[in-house]
Amino acid sequence: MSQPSLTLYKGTLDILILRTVSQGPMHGYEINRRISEASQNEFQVEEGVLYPALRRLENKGWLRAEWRETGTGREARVYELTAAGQETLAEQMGTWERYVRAMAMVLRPKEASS
Amino acid sequence: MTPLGPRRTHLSGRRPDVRDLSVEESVDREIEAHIALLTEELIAAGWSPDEARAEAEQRLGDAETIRRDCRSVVRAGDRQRRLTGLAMDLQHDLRYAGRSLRRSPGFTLAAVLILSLGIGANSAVFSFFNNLLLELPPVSEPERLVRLFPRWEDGIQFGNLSPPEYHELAAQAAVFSELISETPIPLSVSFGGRNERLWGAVVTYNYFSGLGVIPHLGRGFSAPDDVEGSAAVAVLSHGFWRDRFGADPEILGRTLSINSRPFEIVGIAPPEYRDANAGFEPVLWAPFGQRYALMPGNSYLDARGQRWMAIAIARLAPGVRLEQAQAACDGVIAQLREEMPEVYRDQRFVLLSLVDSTLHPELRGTFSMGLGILWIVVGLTLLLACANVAGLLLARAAARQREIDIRFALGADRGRIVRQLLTESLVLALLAGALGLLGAGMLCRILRWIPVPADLPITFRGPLDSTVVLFTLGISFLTGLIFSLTPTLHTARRNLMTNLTNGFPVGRRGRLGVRRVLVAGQVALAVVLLIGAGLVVHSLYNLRQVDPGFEARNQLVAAVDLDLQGYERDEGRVFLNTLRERLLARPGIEAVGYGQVLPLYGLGGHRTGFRPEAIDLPPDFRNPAVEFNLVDSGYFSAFGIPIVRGRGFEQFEDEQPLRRVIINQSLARLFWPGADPIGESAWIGIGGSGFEVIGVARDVAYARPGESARPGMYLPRGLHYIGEVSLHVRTASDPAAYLSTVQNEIGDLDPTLPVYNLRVMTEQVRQALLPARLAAIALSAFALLALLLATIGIYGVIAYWVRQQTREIGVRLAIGATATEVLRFVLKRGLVTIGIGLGIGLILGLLMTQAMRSLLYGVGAVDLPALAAALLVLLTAALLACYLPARRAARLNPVAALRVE
Repeated sequence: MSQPSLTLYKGTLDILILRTVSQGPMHGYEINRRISEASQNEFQVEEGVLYPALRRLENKGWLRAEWRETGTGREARVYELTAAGQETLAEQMGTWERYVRAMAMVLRPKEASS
Repeated sequence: MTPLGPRRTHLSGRRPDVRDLSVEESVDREIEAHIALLTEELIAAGWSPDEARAEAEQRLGDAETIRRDCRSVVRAGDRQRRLTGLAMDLQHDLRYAGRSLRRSPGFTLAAVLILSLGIGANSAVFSFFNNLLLELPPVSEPERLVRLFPRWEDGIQFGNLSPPEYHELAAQAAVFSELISETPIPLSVSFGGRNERLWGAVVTYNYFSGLGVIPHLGRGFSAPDDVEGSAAVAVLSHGFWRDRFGADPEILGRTLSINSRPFEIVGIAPPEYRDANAGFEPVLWAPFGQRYALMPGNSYLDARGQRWMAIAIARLAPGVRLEQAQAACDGVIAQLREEMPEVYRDQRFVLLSLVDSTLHPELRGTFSMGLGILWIVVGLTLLLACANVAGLLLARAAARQREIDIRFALGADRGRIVRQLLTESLVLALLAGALGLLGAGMLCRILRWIPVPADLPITFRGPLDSTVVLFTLGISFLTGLIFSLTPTLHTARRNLMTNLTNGFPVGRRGRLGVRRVLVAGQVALAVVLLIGAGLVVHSLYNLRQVDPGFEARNQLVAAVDLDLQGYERDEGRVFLNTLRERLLARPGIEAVGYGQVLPLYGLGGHRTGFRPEAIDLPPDFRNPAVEFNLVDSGYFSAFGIPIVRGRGFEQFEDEQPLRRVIINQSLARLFWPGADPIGESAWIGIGGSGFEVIGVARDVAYARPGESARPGMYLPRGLHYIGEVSLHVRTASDPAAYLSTVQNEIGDLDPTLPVYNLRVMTEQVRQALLPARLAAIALSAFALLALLLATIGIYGVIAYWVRQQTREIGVRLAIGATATEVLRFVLKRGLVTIGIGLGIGLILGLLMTQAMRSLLYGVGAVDLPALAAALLVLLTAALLACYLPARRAARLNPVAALRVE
């Protein structure tokens, strides 16, 4: 962690969590780790932000939780994407990709047009 | 989803975490798991367990904050879910109710109609009650306003002030920041050459400013307006400006002819303001400085004895309590008593909070009594409607029992079903409330057109404002709860297992019991209302029979006010003499007489003191206030009042100020019981001593028919001219044929003079009975409605019972019972219920008689005609209601009956 990690913009956390959980049921700790790994430590989600966010997504009906045993025989609250969550994820990913493309077009016009 | 299907309940709202962990536990464990997982990983990476644990906790940061944030997110979610759940349930219940009510339109229509009659009647009565007794006028800080009255021990309770008294009280600046006086007066206002008699008010200059009423246009009054000789100005009411001047914005500065004098219009009152007194709606207000122009024919308006200032309203100075102001008033009276012990011996000044008496307290008693009785009647009607609809609901519940049982069986929970049934009832009640409000609006509009049989500027206005709508909403909800309580609980309490197994229920006897109680209640309420109607009708009948003491047939009556028309005394005399001559010259007119007080108009005459001079009265004897009337020589023959002793007035007494008086029988009995008063001499308050009693006239009902006789006297018009005249014309034949004659003769003499109350005397008597007649009509209507509802209720429960007993009746018929025996079997069942209702109704009816007696005429504590009529009508209707299903039972074919179910 030589460079400070990126600040998460509002709204980006939800899609990161949903995308991560879409790979299979996992608990909060694992979600956190995977986000860091996948972003090569550019995104570091603090626990104080992650856990309330999980509960919020659960309230919205995008995640479903269950207590399950982990590989080491420990109980953890495991999250899973619901059908509604899948829909939302697909929708938001589409939006994000357009967003990123548009940003790129504006920031580096030549590369984008070629 | 079908209406029968079970539904997941949303009511609990909280979605329990797996294994029913509480929110706290769930969050704590999740955080704990996080720490444990991290610790494990660190240990795997070579940390010592203790260090790993410490490192994990440290990396997590402030665990307590995380927990708190998680918990609050979960709780917010729970709340949200609960709300959505409720909204969804409500939506579902409403849809279900709508569908269910649409499926049985007959039931829905009947229930809504029955309830709307009850609710509408209550809303209408409330709107009057609200307008006359509750609503505060739109003035600033009404809670600081008080009414001020002079009160005489054993005498007038709410008297008037004279100007000197007003000024003495207004000077109490320490307790009163304002003392406002207002006096309602009839005015002659001219429009396009025609004069019209309308009610206005003379007010002190601080009327608008002191009440805090800001004119819609122009200005109110200021201190110079109260000074004699100031310019004549007036402020018009908003309604008058709108109706008569088309809300002309250029009105200010124009003149209006009032009592034949020009008044400049300087202001228009705000639209929402009618007056500080409930029920009084003057067309205009004019200041104290114009009192002589506004009340012509009075030359001593400023004397201490001239108590004409009818309404006094004070604004308490900041921080002053009513008791302090009362003490200041007591101080004023104490000082006056010292200076003028004769005048102020028995007098006090009394303060009354305006909030408690927006309606003038003199009227308040009568109105609240009448409205109170009316409210009892409409309240009972509503209760009866509730009982009736509850009966309908129970019958309906029986029909839907299977549907509800299936829903129970499919797992619907009890609370849901109760809520659904309640929703259905509330929808019914609210529909009925809306319909009732429409009906109440119509009723209020109709009632507004009914003339008040008194020369009083009282307007009945029951506007359907937001308060009334709120009241209706509230009472509809309450109604819905009341009528649905029994049936709903009954349905929900049922044991699931009773019904599905076989078609023949165990629990029905119980429900029939409830329905019988409801029917008995309806009978009782109907009996009470029938008795009430009977009492009022009986009282009206008595009033019609009562002899008013004068000959009402072949007589015309009318009134003119020559003072308002600007006639001087001599002009007035000439006018009246000419009119009399011209009328007497017409064939068929036998007598013409003038008085001052219009008879049978709700008000008695003016009052003054009377004392025989030759009788030694005890020193503490209080002179009775005796009503007097100024009459001419033609009065007694034209009005048809017999002179029982002595003689009437002669024509010469019309012109000369002779000290003669004719007394009535009551006054004669008071001072000369058993003796002959003719030739005796008396002192009279308005005339002084030396009045010779020349005749005794028969007692007549002067204010209203059926009133108890009061001491009264007649003074000759020659003694004191007054331009306010009642005209009596006796005709040889049908007086209606002479109405136009009288109108034309007056019009020939003065085309602009307004003639009011021109009627044949029998019509005047009828008009005076209008309140009694309206009460009789209203109560009879409610009683008939009650009777109808109760009859339907009885029929419903008996018919239902017969259907239930088909098998038993079949058995009886099969083993040889005759049709008559079956008839008796069914009738007995019905009559027991009805009998209980009748008994309760009779007891309540007797209590009601007590409550109503003071409003009735010639009705005893036990009014047999009313009781008998009520019982007879109800029994007839009830027997009919029982007989129809009983006859059907008696005609049953036993074989078919046994095969049923």
